[in-house]
Amino acid sequence: MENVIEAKALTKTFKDFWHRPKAKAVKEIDFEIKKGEVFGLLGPNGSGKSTTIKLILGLLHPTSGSLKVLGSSPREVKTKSRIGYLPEESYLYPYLTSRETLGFYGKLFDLSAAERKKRIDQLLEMVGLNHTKQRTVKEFSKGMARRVGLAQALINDPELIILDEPTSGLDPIGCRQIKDLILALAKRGKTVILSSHLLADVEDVCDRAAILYGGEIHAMGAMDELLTEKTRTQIMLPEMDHAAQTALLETIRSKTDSQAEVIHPSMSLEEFFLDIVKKADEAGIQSSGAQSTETVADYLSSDQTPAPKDDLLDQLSKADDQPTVASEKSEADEKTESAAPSKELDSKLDRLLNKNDSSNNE
Amino acid sequence: MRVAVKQFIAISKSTTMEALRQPICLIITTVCVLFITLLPLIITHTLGETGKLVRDSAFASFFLFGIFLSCYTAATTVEQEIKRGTVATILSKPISRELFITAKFFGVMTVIVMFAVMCTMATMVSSRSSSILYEIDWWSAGPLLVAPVVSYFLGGCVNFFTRRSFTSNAFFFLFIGVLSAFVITGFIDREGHMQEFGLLYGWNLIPAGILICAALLLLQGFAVALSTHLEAIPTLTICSALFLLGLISDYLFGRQADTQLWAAFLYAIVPNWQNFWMADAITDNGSIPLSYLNQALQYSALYLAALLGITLLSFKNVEVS
Repeated sequence: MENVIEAKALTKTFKDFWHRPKAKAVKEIDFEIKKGEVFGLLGPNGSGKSTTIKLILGLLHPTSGSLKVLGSSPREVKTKSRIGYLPEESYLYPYLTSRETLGFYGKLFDLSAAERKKRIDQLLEMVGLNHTKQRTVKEFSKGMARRVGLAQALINDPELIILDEPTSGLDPIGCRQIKDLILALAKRGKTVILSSHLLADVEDVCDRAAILYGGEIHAMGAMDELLTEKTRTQIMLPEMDHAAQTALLETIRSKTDSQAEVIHPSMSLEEFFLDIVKKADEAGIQSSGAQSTETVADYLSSDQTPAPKDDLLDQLSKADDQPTVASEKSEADEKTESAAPSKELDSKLDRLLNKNDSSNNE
Repeated sequence: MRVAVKQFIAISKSTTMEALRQPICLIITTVCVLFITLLPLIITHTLGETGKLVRDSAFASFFLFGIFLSCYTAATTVEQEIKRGTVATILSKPISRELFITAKFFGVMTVIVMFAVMCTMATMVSSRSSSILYEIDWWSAGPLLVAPVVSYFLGGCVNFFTRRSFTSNAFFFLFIGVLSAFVITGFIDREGHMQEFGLLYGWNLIPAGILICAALLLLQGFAVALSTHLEAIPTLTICSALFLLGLISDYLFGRQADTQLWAAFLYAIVPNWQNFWMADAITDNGSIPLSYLNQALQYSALYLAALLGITLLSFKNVEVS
């Protein structure tokens, strides 16, 4: 697959007034980002994430090493028409309204007046700021300014989207919306670079991630590779009575000779919070801040119908042809799992356990 | 090319709007226009010298308020852009640094030119109303005094009904108001009767106003150039120092320019503001020769082009973080 970004021995050293080295922010890092990937730059504050992003955007110049963005130099002006960037802080004109801000950035991309209006309407709707069109950005809360920042990053329908700490300052609804948006954009074949020090952000949406510390990459790879605990197995089941649980545990213990245990999965605080807000929204309680929306701007929406998410039965069916270990899945996947009729489940489970047993015997 | 022009217009317009939405712009302009309008009231009973004093004071106010406005606007719109980080967002778009700085330059220039137009008109009206000994020509001062009140009222209405910015709208209404007051006054004689347009105006004041505007644009050019590397306070300080140096350039460097190379160099480099101060030349209905105006404008244009070139070169490799 085509590389969108190629960095080789990329180094950035900041210098003082006398051109003496002051801080080495990025130290000879190598990485490649493929087209259509959601790539996470993960690391604590000061680890070199934002510097790497600014190097990619041509705002900073590498001290040494090479960097190619969409096949050309990051300082190439033309290339930037294919990039969307959400900075770490919401760098916006304080005296412009959200509509004027988006209109301004739309003009920089030579969008026609009609196209600009259409996109601005859709973006404001998408980020939940449709009702604040006349308020200037300086009157916005940090989270609201962040939403305008996100909208401006998407005004040109970019191929490469660079999001620097996108969920910083956002409430949990906003965080969830941004994550959903990233997934929707990825589905449309966009390449997304996400920089964050919030582990959950990266874990939820990224295909691959690089973990930076002290300007160096300490780990890089697919999220599954990095996070899967290959020595443990998790099986998710609908609610079952105590007798069935005990019987199942006995069966598993006898078949696998391991210390299996039963736990009840708990809802994450994010899910719980979103549920409360959704109910309040449905009850018609008004808020003067950003609105909770589930829309994605039409022009950013996928042409493809979203792939149906696998349910538990599907996973168990697939297990017939695959290794029998159902790895611990992400929170997003867990949410999509649906209950299945218990009889069918039992038979699938039996088949699964038998297969596991036979493979162990082999 | 077409795209670059569109981008240029968008950035220039946004710079102008951003500057006009800062309350300080509106306040400086209103105070300056009102002060110039009220000068005949303040400077009266001056034994026949009222007209000259009013003109001198009006141009001096225009120059001084203009210096602060040009330096402040340039410093805040460019330096703040870098400090606040908006420059990072803009330069991450398909905008070259050259286009960005040039558009900023022109955006700030628009504000200064609007200010200069209002001040020149106010000076002409004020000069007219002070031309009768020991009397005030209320037919000329009246509309100009009403203009800010109406502008603020209309700005307030726009803000109330449409929630659009009060300051930028009030500024635009003030501009229209001063223009309208100038036109209305031009058709009215001292007794309040209709007359042929502009009979009582001193049209020789316009070249003097243009020269002050050129001087302000030069200062603004320095402020923009400095703002790409310095913060607002050092920029304002250096611009003030440059202004004072330019005022006494004849005395400091001019006397030795023929014999000393360093003096000749500094005399050529430091803009001589005396060349732009022509209030004395228009005393007793004197006029500024067009050839002089032409030369002064050419000098300003070349100086501005050089300043812009230096700014572009120095900003080309500035890292935006």
